[in-house]
Amino acid sequence: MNPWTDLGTVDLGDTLLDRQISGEDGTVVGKVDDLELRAEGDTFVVDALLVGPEALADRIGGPIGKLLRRIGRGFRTEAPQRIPMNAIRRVEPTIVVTTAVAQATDSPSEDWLRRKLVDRIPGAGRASR
Amino acid sequence: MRAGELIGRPVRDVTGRDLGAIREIRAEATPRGDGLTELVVRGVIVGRTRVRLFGYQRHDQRGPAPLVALIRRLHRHSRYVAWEDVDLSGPEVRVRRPFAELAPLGRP
Amino acid sequence: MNKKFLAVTLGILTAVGGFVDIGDLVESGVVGARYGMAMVWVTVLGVLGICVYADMSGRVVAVSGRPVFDLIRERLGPRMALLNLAGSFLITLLTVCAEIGGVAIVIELASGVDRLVWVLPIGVLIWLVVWRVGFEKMETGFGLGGLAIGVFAVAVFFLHPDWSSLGAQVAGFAPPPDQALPTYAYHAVALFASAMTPYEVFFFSSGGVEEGWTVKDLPVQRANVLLGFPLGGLLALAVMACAATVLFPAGIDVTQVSQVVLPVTLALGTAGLVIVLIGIFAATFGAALETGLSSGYMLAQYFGWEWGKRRAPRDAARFHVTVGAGLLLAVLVVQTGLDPVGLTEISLIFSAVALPLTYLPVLIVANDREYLGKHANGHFSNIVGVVMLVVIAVAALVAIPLLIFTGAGQ
Repeated sequence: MNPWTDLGTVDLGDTLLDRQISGEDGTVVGKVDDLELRAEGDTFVVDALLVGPEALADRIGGPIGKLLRRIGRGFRTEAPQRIPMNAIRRVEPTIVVTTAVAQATDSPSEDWLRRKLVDRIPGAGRASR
Repeated sequence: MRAGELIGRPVRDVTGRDLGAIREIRAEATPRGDGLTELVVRGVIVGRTRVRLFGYQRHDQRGPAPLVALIRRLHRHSRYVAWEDVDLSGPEVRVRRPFAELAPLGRP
Repeated sequence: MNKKFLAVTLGILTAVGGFVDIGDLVESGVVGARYGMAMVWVTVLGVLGICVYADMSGRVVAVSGRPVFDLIRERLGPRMALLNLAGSFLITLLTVCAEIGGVAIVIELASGVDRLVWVLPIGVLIWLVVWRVGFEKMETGFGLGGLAIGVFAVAVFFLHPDWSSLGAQVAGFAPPPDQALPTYAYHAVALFASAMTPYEVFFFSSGGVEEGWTVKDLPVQRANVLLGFPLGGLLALAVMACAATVLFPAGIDVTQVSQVVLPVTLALGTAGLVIVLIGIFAATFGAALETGLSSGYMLAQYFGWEWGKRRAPRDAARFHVTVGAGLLLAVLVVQTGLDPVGLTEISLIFSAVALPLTYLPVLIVANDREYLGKHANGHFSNIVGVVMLVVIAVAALVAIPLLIFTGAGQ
């Protein structure tokens, strides 16, 4: 199951960066905040998708990026999550990865807010109906 | 190295001419020995305009016509640079060819 | 067959009742009192714009399963999209303030108790509905309740207006000779923005995900948009006509919501007043919900978080914290006692500035065959879309200069 079969040429900014990542079971993972490139020979190979406010902040750069990084740290984010390229099942229109990898990818800020705030409010466990 | 460290970096050609910055990284899906496919970086797109291509270099993104024409016009000086011609060794990104030798972006 | 017909009718009625919010109400009243029916063309233009762009965003979500704002970051890039997010988010919060202010005024008109007392309870109630009430139930309930605003249309007939003079005003376009052109332009921009407020397409397409639209739902959704929104626009015009019939000849300027409602009381007495207050309550409370949720949708869809009412709150923690924090902030702002009508007008002018960044990505995405396949824009949608984008760009450019030059429409 090769997600790249029809593609040949892949423009990284267009096809990968800033796309939504989800699991095959529908789990929301996040956006592709950056790509990790591995040096190979004279060139580079895309090694992993990076998800996390720190990676996004570095791409935005400048004072806004710094602000983002500080806010992220305030909500207990850590180093960006790595999603290896071989976990990718589909690329268009959004990036779909294996369920196992999707579930394994953490969201430190989501977990922290859930523990500290949302879970303490009654009814947090049930969707509205 | 991250893609974000390349994209946005200012670029000059071999004569010192300002080419703008790296706007996009072009990779190729290359099969490896063990059956897996890797994305190998083959070149970059450099240009003076910050306005994105919005995906108009792909054939799926068509119209509306005035917008396509505007994007094409904004990118008329953007060029594709093969990776062999990209020199990352110095503080600035350098292209080993003069601007005149670089390929313009293909028509979608 | 009957059930399908009922569902379609319900959808259209919900769209009609949900069209009007405090911005449409106030600005239609202000414009009707100052210029009579001369600005009908602005409302028509605004309705045309929102119809074609809501149709596009509905198609995007029905075919691709992704709401429009979700796609803005991958189209514009993280920096431009962040700018878009910041602008849209702040303006949407400003709109939440205006809506909460509107709800408070309605309760004040009904109860006689000062509106500032009601602000916090309203905020809490909104949050409770976000927390517990299902999306479709919420939309249908407040949408149908908003239909009571139709009493404005009934009132117009009971007021026995001079129809030929109203008609002449509509065809006239131009402001009355004693009104300055820049102020006319200022109110035209505000009225236009009230029909095309940025959150509308974001909410509409996010709602599509909440309700689980698929390609099969497309015809129904198109009917909702193409019938519901214009009919909703007619409700706004009815508000304008009432003001044009009662306030315009008397030279009364609208500075309070009670003045907008006055014609209904004159025509239909206490019964009319009760109905119209119920309608405005439903419309503004519903709009407060929509804008409150939209602030969460935008932030979550930029950063890639899990979001939505269809998820248990603990599974969409960041989304719910955002919505809650936004509501709290809005409550605090309104509690300071800022004039709600003035707040509404300012929110509309700033909305006008944000319109191009809002609608350009929608137009681009709606043309992308990777997402939409054969449902991508045809020539008609593109032509109208581009024309509207030019109008939007003009409005965005002149909004702030006009605000400054006319001193907020004086």
